Amino acid sequence: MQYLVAFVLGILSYALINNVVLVRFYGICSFVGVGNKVKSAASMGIAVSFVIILATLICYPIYHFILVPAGVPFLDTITYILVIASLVQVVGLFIKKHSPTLYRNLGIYLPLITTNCAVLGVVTENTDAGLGFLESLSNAFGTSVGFFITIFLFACIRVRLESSNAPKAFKGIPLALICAAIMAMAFMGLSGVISL
Amino acid sequence: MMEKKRSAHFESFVSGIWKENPLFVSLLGLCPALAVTKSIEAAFGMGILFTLVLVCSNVLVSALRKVIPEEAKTPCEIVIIATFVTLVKMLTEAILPELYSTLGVFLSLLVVNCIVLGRSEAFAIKNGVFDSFLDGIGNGIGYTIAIMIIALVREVLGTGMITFGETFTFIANANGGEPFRIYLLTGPSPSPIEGPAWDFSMSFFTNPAGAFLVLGVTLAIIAAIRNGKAEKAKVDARLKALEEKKSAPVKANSAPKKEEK
Amino acid sequence: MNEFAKKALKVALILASIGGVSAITVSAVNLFTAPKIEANRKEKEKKALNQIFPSAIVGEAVEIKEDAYTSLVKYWPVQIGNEDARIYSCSGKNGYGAVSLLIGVYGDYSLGRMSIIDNTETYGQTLNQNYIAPYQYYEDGESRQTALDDVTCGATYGAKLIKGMVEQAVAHYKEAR
Repeated sequence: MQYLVAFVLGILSYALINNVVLVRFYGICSFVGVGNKVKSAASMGIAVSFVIILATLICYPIYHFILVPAGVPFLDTITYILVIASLVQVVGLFIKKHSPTLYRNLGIYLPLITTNCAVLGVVTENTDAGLGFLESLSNAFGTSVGFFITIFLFACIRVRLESSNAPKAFKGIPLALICAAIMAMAFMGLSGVISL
Repeated sequence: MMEKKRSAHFESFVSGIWKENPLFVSLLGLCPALAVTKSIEAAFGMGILFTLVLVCSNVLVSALRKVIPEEAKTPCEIVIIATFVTLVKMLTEAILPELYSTLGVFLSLLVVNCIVLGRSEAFAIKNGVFDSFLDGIGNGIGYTIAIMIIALVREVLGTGMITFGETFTFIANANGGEPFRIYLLTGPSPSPIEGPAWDFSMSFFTNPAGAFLVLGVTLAIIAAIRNGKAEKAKVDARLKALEEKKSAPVKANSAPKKEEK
Repeated sequence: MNEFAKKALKVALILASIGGVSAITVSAVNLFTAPKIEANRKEKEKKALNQIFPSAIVGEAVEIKEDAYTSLVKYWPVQIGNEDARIYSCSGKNGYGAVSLLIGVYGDYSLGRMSIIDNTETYGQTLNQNYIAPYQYYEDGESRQTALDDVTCGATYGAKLIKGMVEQAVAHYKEAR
């Protein structure tokens, strides 16, 4: 029971307090690049969540049961990125077969999940901080939830920004980044909600 | 022929710095640009290591471009880049441990940096070794300058002073044990428990929200400069067209009159 | 073998050879750098120990295995002149990151100097400036205790973490005596 509570609190903490995009700065390229299409933002959130959770589930045993006993913990970056690249291909095929609408909404962003800092960032964090299995899982779930919330909210905001009367130099990405700054300020206020 | 070739090389080198700056123009590599720009030293260190990784991976991918098969292009490039990132990580941990702990996870994240992968996919796999080398150095210098500009703004506005020596401790050792500080927006603090005599720094800029703000405003300023240049070019072109129209009809009128006579 | 299998085999072979060469290169460099990294770490620890109690004789490290003290890793028994003291190595983490430090505790349970080994808190710089630097500035145990108790500093959770670890160290010393 205590483990379940710690797990749930861990998810909330990694989703809100140490938000993946607005505090830890992973996944900004896709965050800014997804634009004002709400559907593809939601699809990207779901796909990235899949990949993060599956990558953690696969990479944690690989590191602890293959790399460390063999004495080669420094090969972790190469292994992780190969696992993530193949995982993205497999997840792409899976999505194509089971949900063609999701696949169509994702479009070009599916192969770009390989270069999403969030996936490699979460897996590397789990190794560097020496987290246990349950904590790594809560990191993965929390990051996925946080990423989905942030990217969905941001896309909805940008839909309304499109029709705003911004100065010419600020149109597009600069205004979006300033909105991200305000979002980051809002999330700063959530810190302290959970005292772990 | 040699001059044309040399200027083409020079072009690819210079374009990476200003015209096609990977951060300000192509908007790639945003993750480190926001995360390691809390201090100028960290940004400089990240830029140097980034340039190293980019140049090495560009050169190797270009040297192996005839061997790498078409179908497995991306995994091969990824493995090569990951190798160099691991090497750079290990060397940094051994030689500059403070820089390693300041950069943290973002040193590993150079593997999935959009710029490194993008340059090797778009340029290195199609061009020769020397061209890829120049392209790598150009993009690296451009990215370093870009993140140092952002780090300068964030550090000066956020802490009020520029500190040399916290990450590169050899500077602090050369300065007698204390980091070398240039005080701009804040006075020196006589001891850690009393604050400085006057302080105009805004610690908002060292927070994540400030990072987004600085990047957004910087991009807006650059967009304004480019819009201004584009406007000027448009106006100049229109003026030139007007000039030509004015001088052309005079010539057309005089010729037929002579024939009529 | 048909064409597809031949091509797949060739691709797999090239990928495997590139992977193999990179693994060998990385392992070779690791042979050079791993000892240097270990030496760096030991020297940093020695310097930190020296900074806490200069001109003292530091004994061998003793691992702490009791479950009740979750953030204490090990301690060094120290001789300052005729008196005993201890230096504790603590490491803990909260939702914002991890902190690991060395804290010196005198024989009369008053606090000695603190030396930070690792600070990966998200608001680590604020923690450094507003909580750790004032603590390290004071020279006597009472003001250090006051600085330790004053946790509202802009990085309150990090400060609470450090305070908890130091209190655990003092409690362990009291129990051991």
